[in-house]
Amino acid sequence: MSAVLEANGLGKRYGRNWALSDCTVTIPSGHVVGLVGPNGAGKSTLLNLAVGLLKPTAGGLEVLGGRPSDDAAQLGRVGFVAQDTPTYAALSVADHLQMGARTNPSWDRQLAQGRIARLGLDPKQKSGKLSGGQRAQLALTMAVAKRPELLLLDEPVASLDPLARREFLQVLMETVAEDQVSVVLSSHLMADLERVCDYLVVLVASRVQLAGPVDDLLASHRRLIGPRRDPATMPGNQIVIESSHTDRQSTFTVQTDDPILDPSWTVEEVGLEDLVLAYMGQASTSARPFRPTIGLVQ
Amino acid sequence: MIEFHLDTHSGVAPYLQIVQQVRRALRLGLLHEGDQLPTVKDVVARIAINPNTVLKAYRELEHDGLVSARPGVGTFVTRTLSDPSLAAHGPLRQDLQRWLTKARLAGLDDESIEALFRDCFRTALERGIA
Amino acid sequence: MIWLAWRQVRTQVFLVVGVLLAIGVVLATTGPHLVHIYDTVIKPCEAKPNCGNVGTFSNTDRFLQSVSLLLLIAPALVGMFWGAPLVAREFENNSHRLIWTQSVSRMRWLAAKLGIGALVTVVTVGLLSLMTTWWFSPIDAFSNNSLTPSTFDRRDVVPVAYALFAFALGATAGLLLRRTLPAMVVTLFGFIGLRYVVEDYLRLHYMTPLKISAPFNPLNPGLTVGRPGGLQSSDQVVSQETVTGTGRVLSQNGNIGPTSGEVSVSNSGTVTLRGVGPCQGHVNNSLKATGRVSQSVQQSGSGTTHVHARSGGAIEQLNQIVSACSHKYGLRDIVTYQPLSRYWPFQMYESAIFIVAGLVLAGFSLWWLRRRMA
Repeated sequence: MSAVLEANGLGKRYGRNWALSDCTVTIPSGHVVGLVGPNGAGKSTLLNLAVGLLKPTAGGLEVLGGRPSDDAAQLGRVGFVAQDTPTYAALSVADHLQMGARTNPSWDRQLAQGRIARLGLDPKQKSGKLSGGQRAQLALTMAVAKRPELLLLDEPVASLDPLARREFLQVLMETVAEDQVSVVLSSHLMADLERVCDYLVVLVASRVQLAGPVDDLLASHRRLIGPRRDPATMPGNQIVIESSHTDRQSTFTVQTDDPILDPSWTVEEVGLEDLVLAYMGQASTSARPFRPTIGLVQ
Repeated sequence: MIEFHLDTHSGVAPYLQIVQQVRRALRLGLLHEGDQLPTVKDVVARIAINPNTVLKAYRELEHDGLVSARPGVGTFVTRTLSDPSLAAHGPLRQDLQRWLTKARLAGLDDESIEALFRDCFRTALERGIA
Repeated sequence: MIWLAWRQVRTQVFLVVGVLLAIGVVLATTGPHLVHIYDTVIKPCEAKPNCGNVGTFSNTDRFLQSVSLLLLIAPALVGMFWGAPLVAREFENNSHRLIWTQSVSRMRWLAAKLGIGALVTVVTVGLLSLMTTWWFSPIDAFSNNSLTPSTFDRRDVVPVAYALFAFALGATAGLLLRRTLPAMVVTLFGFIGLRYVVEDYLRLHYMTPLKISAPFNPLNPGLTVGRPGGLQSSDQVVSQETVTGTGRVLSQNGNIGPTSGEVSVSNSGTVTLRGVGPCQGHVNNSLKATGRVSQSVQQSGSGTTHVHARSGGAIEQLNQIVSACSHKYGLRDIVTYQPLSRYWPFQMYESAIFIVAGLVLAGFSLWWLRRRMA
C-alpha cells in the first residue's frame, strides 16, 4: 500500500515558535484520515505544508511520492480546501468553475456542473452572497472537480451549522465512494470524525501523539477500572496512557495487544473521543514527547 | 429498497449496525431474495459514514451467505433469514424469562442485569470473532 | 490565468473607462471652444502690448485645473488602488489558498496579474493623458512652457510611465507586506520620493545643458527673458551664476547688490566686492539711511526691457559704484538651461527611468515569490 503523505522529522517555525515539530508520520492511501488535535496543535500547518503553501523549516515531506511545490502536475493531484473555505467573493459560482477549468488541465467540467446543479446552487450568484454551507460545498466542488488522488481539508466544517456540516460530509463520502480518493480531514469535532474516518492521526502541541487505523486503535486500547493501584506496578504489556485515582479506585486507559486476564479489573472499551482525549491529556502533562509504540499496520 | 441509519450512542460498531439492520429487514420480510441492497455510494450519501464501513458490513453479510456481490452491478440478497430460527424463539424466550427472574431474586437491579448481560455477550462475541 | 486576472479587475476597469469617457465628452465639447478663444482672442492679443496673461485665463478655469490635477494624481491612485491591493488583498482574504492550490505556478499567477494590470494602466492613464494633452494644446502652444515641472509631468507619455512604476511599486509592496493599507502608504511615499528625486535632481541633466552669458547688470541682475543673449520664455533654467573675470563663482542667484552679502561698505565709505577686490568711489555715509530706489520695468513689443530708475540717496550712489566695479572686474552672468526643443527626448528619458524602475520591481517580485514558496 503506498503512502499519500510521508513526513520525517518535519518542522515549521515562525520566529521562535515551532508550529510543528519533529513530525514523523506515514499516512497510507485509500483511507479517510482524521487529523485531530486542539487548536494551535499544528493541524493547519501540516496541511498547508502538504499542499505547498508553506515551506518546511526542518525535516522532509513527501506527498503522493513528490515534494510539495507549485509544480502544476503536483498541484493537479492534490485537492485542497483551506480553513473557512475562502472564495472570491465578487466572482459568481459560474466564474469559479471557469477559473477551475482554466487553471486545471485535469478539470472535469461535467462533474463540476453536475454537482453544482445537484446542490441547487445558482451559477450566477456571487460567492460572497452564499451561505457558509454553500460556500463550503463550492470549495469542495473546486477541489474535487480536478479529479485529484488526494483531498486535504483544513477544518472545512468548523463554522457550519449542523445541517450544513452533515450535507458536506455526505457529499464528501459520496466522492470517496465514487472516486476512491484518499482524504485527510482535520477537525476538532470528534463526532464527525468518528462517523467518517477509518484512520486517525492525533496531533497535540505540534507533535504526533498517535497514528493508526481506527479499528486497530479501538481494539488495542481498554479502560480498566479497579482498586487503587500505582501505575508503575502495571504489567509491561499494558502501557498506561491516562490514569485517574480516588482514595479507593483507579481508572486506567491502557494500550495493550494482549487480553486482560486479571479478574480484579472491570474492562471496558474506549470510545474514539475518549481515546483521543486520553492522548491529548497525557501529552500536555508529560515532560518528554510521547513516542507512540503503535506501528503502522499495513 | 431499505434505508440505513446510524445510532452514534449505541456503543455498537457502525458496520455491525448495518449488518443488524439488514438482518432485521430480512427477518421482517422487508427484503426478499433477489432484492438489491443500496449501493455503497447511496448509503454514504444519505448517512455520512465511511464507505469502507459499508463495504465491511456487506462483506460480512456475504460471508454469512445472506447476500452476494455482483461486480459492476450491485449487492443482492441471496436468501432470507432461516425461519427455523423463529421456532427457537419461543423456548429461548422462556429460558430468558426464567433467568431474569433468578437474577431479580438474587437482588440484581436493572443496571446490573444489563451490565452482566452485555459483558457476557461481548466476551462471547470476541471469542466468536477471534 | 489571464482570464482570471482580467475577470478580477473587469468591474473596476469598466468604471474607470466610463469616467474617462464622461471626461472625454466634456473635453470634446469644450475643446473646440478653447481653440476658438485662442484664435479670436489670444493670437491677436499677442500682437498688442497690453495683452495680459493667458496664464491667468487658464488658472481661473476650474475644470481645466481639475483635469490637470487628475492627471497629476492618477499615477499615485493607480499605484495605491490597483497596485497595492493586487496581491495584498488576496492574502487578506485568504484567497491565495484557493488559487495557489489550482494547477498554476505562482510565478505565472503573478505574471498574469502584473501583465493585465500594466495593460489596463497603459490604456486608462494613456487615454487620460491623450485627452488632457489634446485639450491643453492651444494653451501650451501659446505659453510655450512645456518644460516647466507643472506642465511636463502632465503631458504625453510620462504620466503613463509614472503610473506603470507606481503600479509595480504597489504590487511589490503588497506582496512583501501582505496588507493593503501599509502597502498603500509605502506606495504613496515611494512614488512621491522617486518623482521628487527625478524631477529635482535628474530631469534637467538628461542631456548636457546649454549655456549663455552676458555682462552682469546690477540694476537688472540675472539674465531674464528678453535680454540680449538669447534666453527665451520657453527655456527651462537649470542654474544661474555670476562669475568673475577669472571664472570664479561669485553668486548663485544673480543678485549682487547693496543688500546681498557680496558687497561690503566700510565705515569710511569704501566699497569692496567681497572676494574680488575694492571698488573705485566712496559712499557718503551720512546719506546711508535715506534714499529709495524705485524702478519701473516696461516690456516693449520687441521683448526688450527698459529700466527707468528714479534716483535717491546712498543706495543710488552705491549702485553706480558697484556697476562700474563689476565692469572693471569683468563680472558676467551665466545661465545654464534646457531649450524647449529637447521636450520630446526628455519625455523619453524620464519615461524610460520610470518604466525600467517598474520592470526591476516586477522582476524582483517574481523572483521573491519563487524563492519563498519553492
